[in-house]
Amino acid sequence: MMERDFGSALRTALAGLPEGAVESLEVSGSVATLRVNLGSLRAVLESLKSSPEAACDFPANLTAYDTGEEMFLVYRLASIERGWQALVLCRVDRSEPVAPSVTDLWPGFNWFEREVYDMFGVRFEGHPDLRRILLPDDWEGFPFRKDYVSRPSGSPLRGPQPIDRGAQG
Amino acid sequence: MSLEPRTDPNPPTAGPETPAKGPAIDAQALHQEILDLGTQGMVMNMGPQHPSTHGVLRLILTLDGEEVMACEPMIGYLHRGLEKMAERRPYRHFLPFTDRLDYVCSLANNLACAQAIERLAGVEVPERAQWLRVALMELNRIASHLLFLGTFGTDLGATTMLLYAFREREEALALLEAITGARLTYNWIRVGGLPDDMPETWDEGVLAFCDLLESRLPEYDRLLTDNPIFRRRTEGVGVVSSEDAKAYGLTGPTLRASGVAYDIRRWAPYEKYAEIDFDVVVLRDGDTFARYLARRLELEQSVRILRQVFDKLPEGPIASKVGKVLKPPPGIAFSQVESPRGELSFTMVSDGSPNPVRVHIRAPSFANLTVLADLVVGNKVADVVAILGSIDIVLGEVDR
Repeated sequence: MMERDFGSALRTALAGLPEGAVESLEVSGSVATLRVNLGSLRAVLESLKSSPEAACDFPANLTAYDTGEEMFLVYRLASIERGWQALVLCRVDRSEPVAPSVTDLWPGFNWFEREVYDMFGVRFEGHPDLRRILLPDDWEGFPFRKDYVSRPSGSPLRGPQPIDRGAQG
Repeated sequence: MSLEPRTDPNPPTAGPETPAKGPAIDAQALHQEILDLGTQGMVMNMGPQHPSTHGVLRLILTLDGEEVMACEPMIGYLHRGLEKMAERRPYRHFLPFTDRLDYVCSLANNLACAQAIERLAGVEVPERAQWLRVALMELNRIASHLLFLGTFGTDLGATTMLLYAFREREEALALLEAITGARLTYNWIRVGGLPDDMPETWDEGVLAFCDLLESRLPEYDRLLTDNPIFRRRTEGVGVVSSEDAKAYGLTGPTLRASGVAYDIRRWAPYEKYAEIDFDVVVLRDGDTFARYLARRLELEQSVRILRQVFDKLPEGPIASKVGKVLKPPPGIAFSQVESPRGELSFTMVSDGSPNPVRVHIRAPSFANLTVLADLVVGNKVADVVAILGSIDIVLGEVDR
């Protein structure tokens, strides 16, 4: 019942978007998984929030993952009233990851975007204050990228340091 | 302002008339005024070594006399890279690490981690284990809320409350120790169930504790809820509207005090919560007092849940068979658990190998802390302590 309602609500909410914005849409129980094109990411998130049918206006979670070949952003938006939630996955360019910021839509995502920047180096365009949040400001590299390799520095104050591949030949 | 001891068990809605504080002061205009005068605000570091920041939180406050003009929370002093550690070991080996997230309620972390693995790998949990997990969650929630009552009272100068709250918390910890062998870092949830059954007569101990706690609740009310000084310090201070609370992604009692009924135990029931009769505590005021009261009233609901668990607890196995090497199929899965602080969620990504590709921990304290900077502006320095205390953060899970 909920599966059908949520599916049709999502299709109504996303009807106005250009073709190809949503690459795939699966609904299982009360959770929908959407794969979204980076160019339409902000439009999709905005529609999910503002559409009265889908009403996914609660910023539940934002994170990212890197497989070594591809990097994805993972947004989770919930509708507290309807009892369903949407998992939005979006591929970003690994070599130069850039994504639109949604802090103006949800101030709660401010720190989450800073954390993704801190760990993966994704630049969120339009973020008011994109700085490292958990790691020290002078940390080198982005530790959650699979190509990040570190070695112990020998100093408890400095922690592990990224290996400079150029210097090691 | 009337401050009669309240006998009405229902939460206060309007409350005695208190002059509204907070948003009445336009911080930016004030800041501009100070700049025009050619003077500047004083920058004060509160923390990371400050007893009322409940850990290593540092707040950079810009002050105009006693009033806060701007606040910038600095976090990361306790960052241990737990998520990175998770990527470097098999799924189950990460469970003991989760104790060190929210160390006041470790069992909720254990459960959220185990649940994410169970969903990723499609592992079923036997009935009896599910019921026992509920009992452990609620007992740990009581211990956590009691710690909050004690430290929050201390933050506001009501130091006696700490002694009363710890008296009962000790009983709860003794019960948890009897089953898990530890008092703080329990590590007692496994993928597919629990490591061992409860000791004999443990249920009697829990039920006796429920009676004891219930008989002590009126004492807490006399000490805090009906205390005129406590109420003047908290009522109308740091008000969060329900729209703001949702936009900031607040969860747990902090969100429910602002009138949004979002409790994972009811919203997306896990384990056996769907079969349990309990009320979601929702208050309307959204101020510091409401955030306190939400937790105080949740104690009663936890007692109610515990009693039902032992009525319904079936016999049977406490763990399902899970292979020694766990290789979940490729995919992404997330768990949702209502920890005492809010929605705790583990997101795990698998590529079919024995180690996870990515483990992300959505810590409720991390999300709840985002609202602090906007909430304290315009309030007095002393209110910063009250507001921060009422958000009830644990730095172990903020910094991870």
